[in-house]
Amino acid sequence: MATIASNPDAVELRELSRARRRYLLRRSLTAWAFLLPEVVVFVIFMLVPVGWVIRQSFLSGGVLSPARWAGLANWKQAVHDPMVVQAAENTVLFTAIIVPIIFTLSIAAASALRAVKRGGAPLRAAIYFPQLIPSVAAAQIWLFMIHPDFGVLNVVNRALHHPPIDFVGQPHPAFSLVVMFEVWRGIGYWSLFILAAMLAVPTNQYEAATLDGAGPLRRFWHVTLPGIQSPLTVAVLLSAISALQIFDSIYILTNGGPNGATQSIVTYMFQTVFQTGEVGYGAVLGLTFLILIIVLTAGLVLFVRRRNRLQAETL
Amino acid sequence: MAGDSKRLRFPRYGGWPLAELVPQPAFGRRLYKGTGVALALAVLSAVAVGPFFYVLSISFRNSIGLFNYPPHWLPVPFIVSNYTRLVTQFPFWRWIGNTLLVATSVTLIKVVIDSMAGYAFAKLEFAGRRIAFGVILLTLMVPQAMLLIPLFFIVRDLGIYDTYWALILPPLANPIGVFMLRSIIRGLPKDVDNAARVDNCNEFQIYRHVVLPLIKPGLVVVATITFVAQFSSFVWPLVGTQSANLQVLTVGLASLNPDRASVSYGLIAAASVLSTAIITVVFLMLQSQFKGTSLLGALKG
Amino acid sequence: MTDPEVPAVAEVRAERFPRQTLLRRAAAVGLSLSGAAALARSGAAAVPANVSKLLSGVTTINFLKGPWVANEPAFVQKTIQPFYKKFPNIKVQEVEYQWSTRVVDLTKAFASPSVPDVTYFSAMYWVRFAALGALQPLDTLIKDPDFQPVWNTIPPKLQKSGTYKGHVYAIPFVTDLGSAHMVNLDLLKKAGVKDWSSSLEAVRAAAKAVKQKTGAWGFGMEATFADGSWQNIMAFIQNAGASVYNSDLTQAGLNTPNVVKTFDLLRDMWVVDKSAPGPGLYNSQGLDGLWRAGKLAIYNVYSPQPPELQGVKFKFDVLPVPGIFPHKYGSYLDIGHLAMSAKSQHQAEAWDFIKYESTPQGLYPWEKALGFFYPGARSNSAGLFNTKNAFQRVYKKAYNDIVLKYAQPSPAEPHLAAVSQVISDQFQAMASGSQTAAQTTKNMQDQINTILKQPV
Repeated sequence: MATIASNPDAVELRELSRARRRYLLRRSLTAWAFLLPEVVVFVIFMLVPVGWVIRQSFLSGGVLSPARWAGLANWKQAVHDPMVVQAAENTVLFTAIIVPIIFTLSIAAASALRAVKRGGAPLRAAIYFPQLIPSVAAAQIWLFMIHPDFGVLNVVNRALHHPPIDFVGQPHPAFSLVVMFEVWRGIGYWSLFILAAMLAVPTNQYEAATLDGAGPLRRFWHVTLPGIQSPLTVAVLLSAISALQIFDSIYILTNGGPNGATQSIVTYMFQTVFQTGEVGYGAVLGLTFLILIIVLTAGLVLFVRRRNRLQAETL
Repeated sequence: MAGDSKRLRFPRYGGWPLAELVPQPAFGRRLYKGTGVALALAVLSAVAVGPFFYVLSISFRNSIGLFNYPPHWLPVPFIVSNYTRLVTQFPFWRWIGNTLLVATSVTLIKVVIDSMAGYAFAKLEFAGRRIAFGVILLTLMVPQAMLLIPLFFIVRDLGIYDTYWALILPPLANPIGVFMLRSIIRGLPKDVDNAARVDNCNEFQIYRHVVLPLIKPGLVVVATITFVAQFSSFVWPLVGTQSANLQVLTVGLASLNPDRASVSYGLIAAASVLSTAIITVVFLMLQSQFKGTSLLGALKG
Repeated sequence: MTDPEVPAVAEVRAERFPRQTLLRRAAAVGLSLSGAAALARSGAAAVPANVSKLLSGVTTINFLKGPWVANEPAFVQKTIQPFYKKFPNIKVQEVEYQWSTRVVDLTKAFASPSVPDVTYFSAMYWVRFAALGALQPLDTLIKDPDFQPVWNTIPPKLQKSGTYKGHVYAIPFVTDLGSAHMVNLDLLKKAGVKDWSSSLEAVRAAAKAVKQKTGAWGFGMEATFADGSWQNIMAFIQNAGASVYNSDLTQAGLNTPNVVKTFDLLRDMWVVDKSAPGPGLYNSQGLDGLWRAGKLAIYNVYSPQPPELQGVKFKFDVLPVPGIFPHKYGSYLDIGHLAMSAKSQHQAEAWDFIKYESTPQGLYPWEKALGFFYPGARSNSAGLFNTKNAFQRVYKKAYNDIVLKYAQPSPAEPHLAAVSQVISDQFQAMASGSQTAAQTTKNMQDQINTILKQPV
């Protein structure tokens, strides 16, 4: 009968595995040592609150009065609430309009910036400027600009003796106000990002294209755009995720707009929690938003991956 | 294919620094390109910066005169009472001080813990790495407004409600820094850390002496984003603190105009101008400290 | 980094180990975290209230209120000097909430570890907190021998405004003029208008004439929720003989033909005559600006303030709000209240403060400083009016007419915040032309009924 101890190969095996165990233990310990501060903060201030929200969606009360179990009542209320549909529509519409505009303009701006030979720094600082201003102050600035009497955006109307555009009181102007504001703020950030990506495209590709007789437009289409495709995709995704979540601007500019015309799910949730005090319902809205955004993002990611795969297959 | 028949007049661009903006080789007709580009850039800058100057003009005027038509763009008569009112009747400097304190603390702590976490995710293997990173990615999609009430309870139960910690700790949970730094570190040359490991360095030494210097531009980017975002942060400071002496700039701006004694457009304009000026100055100071930093060349991954 | 020499068996064993390590680490982190939390919570327990009182002999109470002037804390301390003289061992610490974020601030304060002792509520917000059990019923306290006479001088309509489900929770503290029409007499004269106040039809005709003949706006009214437009709209509902709620507060009561007629007239001013600027085009400040610049003839404003009117360069008047029935006026009174928290640690001192501030001696400094009014015999306002001042003259007349005769506060109902939002939003949609008056009242009725069914 051969025992493990009498088998020299087995002994070596056991010692190796012990050493490997120790090594893996040390490796995980070090990794977690690096992660620990982030994880602690993350668990306390992100995961626990999300868990609380999930639980709260089944409760009613809980802030000033003791919480009562409400089961699916809050969820049922959300299903029957017409404002939820409108808010969801607005949220998606905002993103679908803002993101393409930002990126079209940012790519154009980045191309223009790229051609600057000297003195680029003040230009880049100027373009980044709208991002710098605290959103609350920036929204205040825009409220001045849309003022019917002395607002810049209405001066032309007055000169032509048209009635001023009511950017806060009418649904379509209010919607475009939010879009304009977000585009104005967003271009600064993303155009510099795209500029950096453009500058990373190797110049020999441009040489090759020129040698093949390509003019500036074709160079742009066939060299620049494919060259920045990867960072551009990431940028579009991040921008979409943050556009779905815009809150500060809507809150200050229109607070949900004339009768919900600019209400996004996030602002509706905030109003529900802080204006009418229904925390359980607000939790439901928050979770609905989370599901919506995860679905949309997953869809976008899959779409991009599929397109990349198709492209790779056709090449 | 001969590349040497055309001599490049400018060196090839290949690294981080944006400060040396290198133009493309001057193919095509420079003249038309020049004017078109110049026009586009002029319009862009005007649109970006214009509103600020517009409000600057409002801040130096008496608000009643604003309703006259045709509008006078120049502030005549010029008054500074809006500014004096702002800084004497309201604790404006307190707001700025609080905001700077919170923004600096959050930025410093965040850079450290995010780079550590980013390093762990990028270079170290451990159980649950994929899941943990997946969870962090998912929370990118959580809107801050959703967490306000539970954060309020957590902060209250931890005993830090209405203290500076309430302003500093919760923003640290924002995952964007980890995400960015992980992709930057992953983009580093592959065996930089392995070489150090072979030399028997422990992980912390590798992190500190090898990786950190290499990702310095990325750290600056994360620091900038965090710092600027803290200046803009509005709803959490509103919910997380109560005392007047903990108010940050955004909350302070929202509290202007308590009396209806006058149309205080000028006051709000002055506040917007001062806040913007201050953050711009701070930002420029920071940027000059870190010359040649690439704004987001990092996010290629 | 794989170790290529490790055989498969050890590989399987090795997979398990990191997970165990992980679990151990997680447990350690969890334990230390909960330990830290427990420490923090115990450390955060402040010195018990009665201990601090014993130590210094002075009790400090928190007074939560919204700001009326720029430097509110100093103003409050100055105004409560008579209270300090009478009660030297009570100190009042003012904590501010902002009007624009008042619901957030109030909720926060009541949910925080340091609940305010005395709170000033405006716009009937106290009702929701009372319904949630956050306020202390004052039924027995108002029977105090030194307060009962004061309570008896408060007009019944205002006593009722502090009562919810049969219990008194809030003592009426300050009110102002309520909703009224400020009219620019010079503009009206220039447009040749003779009647601008007998009925809403007259107002409409006057506004149209002003717009057509002088180019200035004929009628202006806050019409968005952010500007508190429900305070303006309530007056019209009142003088149409309806009310927001039915008598037992279970359903809405504003979908009546008279209300529809009233709203129709108002809508015409915006949509047909275009003599009023679109809702939201000017916010409250903007309308104030228009008024002071002399570009608005009839301004339906909630509570004209003395400072707003001093220094205007035209002749003006302040009148009650007319409706569709000639000479039947209305005015909405948004009275502010003082209330005490159920969880307050200093209930005796808080009641002393509320009591004193509600007596004529306590009220007088507020009146003098702010020009607020205290209807009923508590008020010294009559003596305060300096009738040499044109505004004060007008104000005094308006006070007698509007506040004493017509003004009605809204009933004490906890869903008021949500209900007022519905009213404001629907009205704004109507005034911007997207729906008819009949549709508006129907929507309001339906939505309010839904809200009233929900728990507080």
